[in-house]
Amino acid sequence: MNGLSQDIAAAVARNPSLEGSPYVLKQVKLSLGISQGGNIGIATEDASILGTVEFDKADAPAEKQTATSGGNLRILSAQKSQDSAALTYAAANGISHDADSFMISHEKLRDGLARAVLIGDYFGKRAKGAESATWKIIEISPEFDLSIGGAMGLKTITGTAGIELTFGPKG
Amino acid sequence: MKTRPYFLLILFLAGCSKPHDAAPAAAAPTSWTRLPEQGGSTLYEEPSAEFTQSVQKTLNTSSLALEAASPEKPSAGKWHLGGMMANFGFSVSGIFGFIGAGGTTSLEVIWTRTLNHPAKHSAQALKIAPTLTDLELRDRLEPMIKVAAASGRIPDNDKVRSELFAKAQGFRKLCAALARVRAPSQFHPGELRLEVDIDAAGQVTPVIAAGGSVALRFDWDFADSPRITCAPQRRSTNPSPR
Repeated sequence: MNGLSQDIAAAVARNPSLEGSPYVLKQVKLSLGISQGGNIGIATEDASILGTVEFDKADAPAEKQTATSGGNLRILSAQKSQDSAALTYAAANGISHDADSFMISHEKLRDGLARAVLIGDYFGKRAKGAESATWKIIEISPEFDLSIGGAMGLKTITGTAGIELTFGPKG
Repeated sequence: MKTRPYFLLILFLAGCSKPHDAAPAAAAPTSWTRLPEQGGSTLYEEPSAEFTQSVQKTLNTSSLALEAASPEKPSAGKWHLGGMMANFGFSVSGIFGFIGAGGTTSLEVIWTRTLNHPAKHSAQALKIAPTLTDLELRDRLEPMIKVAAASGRIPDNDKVRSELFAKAQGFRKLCAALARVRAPSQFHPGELRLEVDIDAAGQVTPVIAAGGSVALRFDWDFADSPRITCAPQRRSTNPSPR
């Protein structure tokens, strides 16, 4: 959990171009579950979800987020642990796995989050452009699927459980 | 404090825009909707000008429609439109637009009228201590099951009790594990939540998208001493009360 908090902050800090954005990341919501071995991981399939945790942004100024958490992060995906295409991808990218989980580094998750934040920022800029005389957008929340390698893609009609980023007006 | 009545419009529209009729160039970059193991890239790609135009147009259209639908100044004491939540999605080919019933939400957007306070939802919550025994946990769940069953949309039977209890146990186990870690960072864990749907057959499943059945919710607030709260709610249109 400590690592996840730091990963989110680091992913935001990694994008200096977000400084002038009209909407900023306020919250990250992701699903958690427990593996067969009893370890907490990010759940990517409905059946393995035991709860959804919300990481809220504090009002305090941003910290320097340079340190990378040690160890691996567990991504729970019992289906993909049996899927040959996913296993081929895991082998080609050095992603270890067991019966129901894939293990990725925090660095990989930060890469995935940083790109997801950029995609969210894109919609934030469009939201700013959609203000009218008496209406404005106060929240914009893109939802992402999580790859077994830590990358994220916007949910489509074939999507599963994943990660939701919530952006709100700056200030 | 005097408050004005308002209502929040939650929009799930099919046919406001027709994504499949748009030109292919208006699609999002492939890597935005396809994971690497599905052949997507991990690099950030800038979308085409046509895609940006289509996103901007969709959002602008909604704002202008709201403007047209709301009176210049709400009359005191009268109900008026205070906010709107709309759900957008992507087609398989990456076209952006409103989603219809059964579609997967990729982007949720909430508008508020600048004349009003932001629209909010709330759900009554029943606190349950984390140290509850299994027996106590069952006792606390029982009223929730009765309330949910009273809606007439789910059965009041052993299957519901058994499946709901299993989910509550799993949630409690996760709370116990998370209670051992604290994260000093700009982003801090604020709440752990599980929403479950109970269908007409008594099947209990975690809720990820909007459904049409009855749901129960478990909450655990990191800021307080560890606790579990549970609230029954109808899941007609809004997946997550704010």
